[in-house]
Amino acid sequence: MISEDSIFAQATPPGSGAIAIIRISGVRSVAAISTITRKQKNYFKPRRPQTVNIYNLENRIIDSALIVFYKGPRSYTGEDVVEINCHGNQVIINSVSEALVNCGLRLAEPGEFTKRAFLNGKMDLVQAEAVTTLIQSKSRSSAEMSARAISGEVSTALNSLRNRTISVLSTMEHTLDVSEDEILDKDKFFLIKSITYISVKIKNILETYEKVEPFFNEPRVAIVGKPNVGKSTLLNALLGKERAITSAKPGTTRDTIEGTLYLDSLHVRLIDTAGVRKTDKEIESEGIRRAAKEKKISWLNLVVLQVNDKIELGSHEIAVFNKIDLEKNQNKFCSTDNRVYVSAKTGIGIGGLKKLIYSTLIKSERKDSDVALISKRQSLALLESNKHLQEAITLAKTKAPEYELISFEVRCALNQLDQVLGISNTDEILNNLFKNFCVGK
Amino acid sequence: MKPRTNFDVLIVGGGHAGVEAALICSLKGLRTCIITMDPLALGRMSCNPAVGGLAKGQLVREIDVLGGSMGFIADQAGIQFKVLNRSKGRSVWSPRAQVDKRLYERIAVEKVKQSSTYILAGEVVSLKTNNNRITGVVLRSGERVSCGACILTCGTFLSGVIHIGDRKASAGRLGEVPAEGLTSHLTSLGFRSSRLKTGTPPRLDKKTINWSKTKEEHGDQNPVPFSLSSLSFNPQNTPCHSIRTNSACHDVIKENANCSPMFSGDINAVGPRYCPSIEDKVFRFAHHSSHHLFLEPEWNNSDQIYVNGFSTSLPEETQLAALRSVPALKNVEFLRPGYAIEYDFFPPSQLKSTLESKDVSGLFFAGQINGTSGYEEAAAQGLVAGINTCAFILDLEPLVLKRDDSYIGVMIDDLITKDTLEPYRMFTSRAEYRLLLRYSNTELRLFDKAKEIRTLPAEREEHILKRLALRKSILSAVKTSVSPGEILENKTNINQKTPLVELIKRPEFSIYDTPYSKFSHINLKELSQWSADEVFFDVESHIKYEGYIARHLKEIKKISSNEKMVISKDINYFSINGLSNEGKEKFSLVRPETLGQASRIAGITPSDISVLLVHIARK
Repeated sequence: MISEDSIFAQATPPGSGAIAIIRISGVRSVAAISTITRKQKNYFKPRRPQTVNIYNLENRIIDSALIVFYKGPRSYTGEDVVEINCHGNQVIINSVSEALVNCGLRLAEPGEFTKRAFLNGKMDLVQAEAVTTLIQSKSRSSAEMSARAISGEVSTALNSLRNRTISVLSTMEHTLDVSEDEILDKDKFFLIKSITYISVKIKNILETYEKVEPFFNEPRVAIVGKPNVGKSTLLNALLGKERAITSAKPGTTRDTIEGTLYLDSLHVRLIDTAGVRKTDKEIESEGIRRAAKEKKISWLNLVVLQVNDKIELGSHEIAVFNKIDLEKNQNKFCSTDNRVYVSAKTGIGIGGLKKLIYSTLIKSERKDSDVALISKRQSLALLESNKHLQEAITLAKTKAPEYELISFEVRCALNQLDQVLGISNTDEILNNLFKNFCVGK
Repeated sequence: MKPRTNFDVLIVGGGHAGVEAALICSLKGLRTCIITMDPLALGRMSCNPAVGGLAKGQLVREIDVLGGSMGFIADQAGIQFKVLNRSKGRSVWSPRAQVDKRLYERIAVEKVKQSSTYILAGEVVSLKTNNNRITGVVLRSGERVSCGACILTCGTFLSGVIHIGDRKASAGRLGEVPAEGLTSHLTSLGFRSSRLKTGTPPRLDKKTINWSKTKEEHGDQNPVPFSLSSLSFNPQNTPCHSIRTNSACHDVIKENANCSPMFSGDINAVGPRYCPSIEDKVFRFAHHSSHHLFLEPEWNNSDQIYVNGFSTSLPEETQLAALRSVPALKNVEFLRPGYAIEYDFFPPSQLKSTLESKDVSGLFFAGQINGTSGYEEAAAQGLVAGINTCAFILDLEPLVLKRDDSYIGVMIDDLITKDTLEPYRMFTSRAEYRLLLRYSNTELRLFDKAKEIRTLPAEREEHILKRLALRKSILSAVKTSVSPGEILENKTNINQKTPLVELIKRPEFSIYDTPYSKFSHINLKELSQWSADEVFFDVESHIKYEGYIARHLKEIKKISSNEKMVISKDINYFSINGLSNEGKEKFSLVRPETLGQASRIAGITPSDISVLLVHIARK
């Protein structure tokens, strides 16, 4: 899709800085810089930085800027791209933008550069998505995985599965459409084996995603429990700062209070909630309602208790027995994999609790060789794809299989793989995807 | 010389497309004329002595239900009938018949003669048009014939060149002269043309085959006809014979492959990948040490044997040497060698879904001239072109078939939206709604259309009505419940009263396992055994596939709005902002009639479709 319509946007964050970069893409890129620099079009040589003056309509100098021209299709978007490196002053940037608009360019929509790169076949949907996740990455792990996805690692793995699926389909269609031979047991066995192989590979990829998902999503961990068990103190102890107001009075915390806990490369959203008790106070009841809601949507709940309280834990719950510093014989309390004894006040056991939160969220570490998806959209589509493959295997294992039904299921599986890679994409996926971008990417 | 003026429609070519078109046009009362270079060759089967087969069998039944003739002629000329793919899945079951070619041709000629069709011997070299509307044709003799509409069904005759090894000859078929000049005339009118290639295997002398070294292959014990006019059906069951190639045979081919014009680059046209020549098979499937060949009689007691599976353009000596390496053919002699033929075709994206040209009104194209291969594909197009010619002349609603109602619909939609890079053959896998398109439910899909165009002979229509009635009775009978005692234990297990339809959904249970009492009230005498069996079987398929069929229907509903969205003919795609360059080019080339067609054009992206949609909606 080489669009007639050329776009520009500031690629660096707004505000002052040493340099600001304005990116231009489209067939009119060169004409536009030629106009604003008063240079011939052929003055600009691909991939060679050139310093030139930029002028406004009144022929006054706006800035002296470094210009790099990337000739399409060897550019980010696949179209002619120009990057203007000007001085990082918003006044200059505004003037340059105005000059570009006067040349008939328009301000890019969020994510439009990457969208064009995708539409021009410079990257597939997985890679385009990785651009977003990389930019938004808050941890080393998610940044690394996104970078690996941009490099095409995930796409290669998915493409190979896609090719295998197509090959299974074409073998099957050949049997149905061309060959007049009967289907033998060995053919059936081979078919089941081929589909199973793809299914197992998809399952592995999905399992890896489960391991890495928390790195992309900042999992929510709620601190819940009765009033006055020390939930806010625990929040402060875990964050290492006085985030929430604490007092000896029950019901001090009304609204939920959030803070980010850094556990190595995992970022956890920690939420302190109001203590649950019967109350007729309006504000406190609202707090308790919010606490209940938080408890439902969080990935993990830290249930704070008194040392001698009894509790039956659900999954995704850790019992945190607080105020152990008040006990005489602290040694008789042993932490297990979902029960810990701490003192939020003195810091006893807080390190252990952090480790436990980490290991509960990240059940096992991804091996370096594992291919990791980077979005929920991808994992849902693969999950669906695998469902169809499983159905195909079930059909193939019946006594007298109807082969066109197996083929139907495998086709559905293929459609899902195509959706991940954006091959038979619909605009719905596209728009959803690109709306998370900020302008200039 | 004054032009002849007494015809509504001229059909140029008398092959399978031409015959169907002529029969339907004359049936509908048009003054019809076939112009052919050889009046004795009407409905000639120039390649294999068979009709139907995988996906093609479905086409023949569809032709039949729309009022065409191929199925009925094949039923009368058939010498062996077999439903293929029985072990694979019920929607890909396909009827096929071994056919007596001579008899087929004789019946076809007879039928055309019985109709009011006039048969004119001659070669059309140019067309007469006025205001982009067809008005007549000019023959090589200089004679002019005027018309209201014209259907081009020229087969492989346009600038045909035959290759046997390095020998080349201009020909339409072996021993028949080609048609020269019409292509360049059409190109001068602005039509695009291109070249394709196809091939045919050698014909063997029956007496020189050692039949004891072949394997006998019979047809079905209970044969099924193509046509719903074949009420009583009791055909021959003449055996065919199969043999296998061996490594000695493959070695001969490998050594001489460079003499094949395809490998030497002498043929530039693209041949079909699915019906590969034997040299292609030996190279492309090098891991197969042997390929199946079928020895098929070309007619009853024929001395001429067709070698199905051995299409080739190798030199004659090489063909012979390769075949003689097979024990059964040690002393074989040829009656005629295999050959490849190159010919002109007109990329069918220039046509509407009625098969009428987008640029010259009243001019229709059908058959191999549209880049297809096969008798059945040709006949189906001939029929549709014929019906739409009638609609054109008589000012009626045209017949447009859809991807979800027929293989013919799939074929025509593919032809007008996809690039034709090799001869187009029907495959079941081309139909995304394959599970809906069974040969056994053809009348369910197409009878309403047939009724509208009123093309069915009385006995066929009556038969269809009886089948639909039987289907209805069975469907209501299976709604009743059976109790555990009524079902044999080895069939399936039930422990309470269960609706029959639930039992039929079980893989192990067949509709024939139903207690007789459930169907005893249905009068089966009305239908022949084969026909009733077919209806029972199809109802069973329908029930067993219900879940899948529902998924298909959901999909169809989802995209149906695109199919109804008509795109104006005069749209200037280059002026639409936001369309990709490829989109602009492809849309301008194809000029899709509906948004659905637009979305199926190769290279079109979803964003092109949404831009186009917005553009149409704004108008």
